[in-house]
Amino acid sequence: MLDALQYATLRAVVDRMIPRDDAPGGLDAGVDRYLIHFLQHDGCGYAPTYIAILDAINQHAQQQHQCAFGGLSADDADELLQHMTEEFSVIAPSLSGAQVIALIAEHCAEGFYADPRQGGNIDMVSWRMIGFEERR
Amino acid sequence: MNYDAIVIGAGAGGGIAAALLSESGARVLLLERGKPHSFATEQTDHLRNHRLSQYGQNTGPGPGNPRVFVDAQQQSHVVQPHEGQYHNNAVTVGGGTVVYGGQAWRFLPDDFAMASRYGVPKGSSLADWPIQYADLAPYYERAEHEIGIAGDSETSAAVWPRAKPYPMPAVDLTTRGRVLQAAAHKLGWRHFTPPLAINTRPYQGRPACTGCTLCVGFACHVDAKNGTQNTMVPRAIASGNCTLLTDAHVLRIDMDNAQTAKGVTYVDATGTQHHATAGIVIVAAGAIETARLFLNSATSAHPNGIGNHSDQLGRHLQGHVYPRAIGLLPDAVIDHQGPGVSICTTQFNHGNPDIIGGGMLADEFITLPIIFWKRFLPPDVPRWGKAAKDFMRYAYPRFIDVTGPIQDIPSPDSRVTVDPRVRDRFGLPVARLSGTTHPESIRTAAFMFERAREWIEAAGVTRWWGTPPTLGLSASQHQAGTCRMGDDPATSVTDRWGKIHGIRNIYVADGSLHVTNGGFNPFLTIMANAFRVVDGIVQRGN
Repeated sequence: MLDALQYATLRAVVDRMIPRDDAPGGLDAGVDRYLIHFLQHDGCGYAPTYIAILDAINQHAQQQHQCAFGGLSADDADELLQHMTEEFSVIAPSLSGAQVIALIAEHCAEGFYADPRQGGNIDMVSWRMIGFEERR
Repeated sequence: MNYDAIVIGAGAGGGIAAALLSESGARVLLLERGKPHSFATEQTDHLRNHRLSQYGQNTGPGPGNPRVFVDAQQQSHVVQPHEGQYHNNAVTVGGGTVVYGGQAWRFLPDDFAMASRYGVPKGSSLADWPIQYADLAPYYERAEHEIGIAGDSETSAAVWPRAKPYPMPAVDLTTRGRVLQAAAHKLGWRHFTPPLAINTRPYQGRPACTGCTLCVGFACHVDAKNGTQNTMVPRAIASGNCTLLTDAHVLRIDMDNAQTAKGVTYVDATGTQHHATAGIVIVAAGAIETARLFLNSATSAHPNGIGNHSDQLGRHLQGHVYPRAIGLLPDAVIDHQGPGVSICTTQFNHGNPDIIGGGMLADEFITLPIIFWKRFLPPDVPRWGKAAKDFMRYAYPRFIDVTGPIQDIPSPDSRVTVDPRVRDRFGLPVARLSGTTHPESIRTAAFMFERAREWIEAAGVTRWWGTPPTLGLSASQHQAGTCRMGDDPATSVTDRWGKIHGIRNIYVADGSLHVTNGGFNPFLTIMANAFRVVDGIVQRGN
């Protein structure tokens, strides 16, 4: 579904959506793999939008920094994503950059904060971070 | 096949109808279009349950059952069961009672006489019920004992005149509940622990609640949450007189003549069509599907649908608007003590200055992290990046929230019709939902939002947020009002006994009968009214 560059960009985006700090981040929780599964199933309608924004993000990184988005520093990557939400009027048919970034942020949160049975939140890392237990 | 009675829908109302009739000796066919759902079939999926049905749900109707939603700009949208505008209720044996939180409220005496107490605002169809609280009180008591309710009998006796205590003591206060209790003391507000259909000790052979953190939206893992699926429906089956068919979809009610139903036509799980006949037909498919079935059962004698003699069928669709105030306390209050709701106030259900009615306020069931992220974040917090993560880490253990259903002020334009174009998998017109609640509902919600905010501020929040609701269609799980009861056939669909005006043997036994829907979760009232309606049928022998 995604080519190698698009997948690398997706991973880099996940890493900025939910960055690792003293607690695990989105990549540690398997949010990238959650998203791939999601885009092949319930979220298949979003796949063209993802491909469009991932390509746009990467092209923008090449123009501004002459390197792939995945190669940017955290600050440069955050700035670029912020720029996408503010400057890019339309990324995909009928969606603004802000809407697409909001959508990806929400899908990442689903992968990070929902139950591990859905493929993300590996080892309940987000729940450990916020102090939630699924207790019987 | 011929039966004494056919009951359509095995939810809160239908389960009770099936049990009471079959225990009285009648041969009953209970038709449920859903499949049975229990913890054995529960996927405990945080994204696909009845509380958050982001991409699907655990108890929804299957594929081929869309609805049409008409928005405020009069645009029609085809919507699927997991989408909010579908206004779904659980479709399974037990209906919503399998996956609900189980707040087991009696309505207040004034809730049955809203028009008399407040007058009728322009554009509203606010009206009195044809019965009073006293008529329903003995049946509330039966529901509380036969379903199994845990509540604070002593304190709540000051709110409702009651003859008999709850069969089980109330759940314990949670950490948040204790904080809100102190705040209510400070404010001088009457408060108590809400009644719940959850066992606080073993009851009727089912165990006590384990206090788990997955309650509302899911089937109970030890069967300690009480609904018709583990009380009335098993009683009906145990009588030996009731045949329960699941995955059985009723297409129409068949009439013998203009005044008499002959039976129903339904499709079974294998797709085979059947005709069943019966002396009476009781419809309890929920306020949206009950109205749709009557509309889709039109005949030459009832060209606009059964019970639609006065253009009332399907109108006055109502549910509950929920204001919610959320805030952060300085210290963590997370305690993982399910079900989570443990304190309420009924201080503002009536008697508010320049407000029609009001509503109950309570704390919340345990909020799953993804629900907190989607619904509870303040508008100014970023949704991604380190700041978003930091906020979740700080806020989730410290948040406190107060919410509750306000009494909707009904509008005749909030309604169920059938769509002229969109069909379900059987080729029948689907439900079309249009209109909004009356603007007075939003005024009440704004007032109650301020009370919710006051409560969490008194609890010591360092910041608060939340927005009062805006005007929209109100129905969902608390859907009601589409076959309102009344003594005058010109302004109602059924008589006070739930019998369709002018028809000898068709009854309604669900929330469709509610003239108004109280400022409370409605299931106990749906149940009490079903007890009353069916007790009437059994007593009169028809």
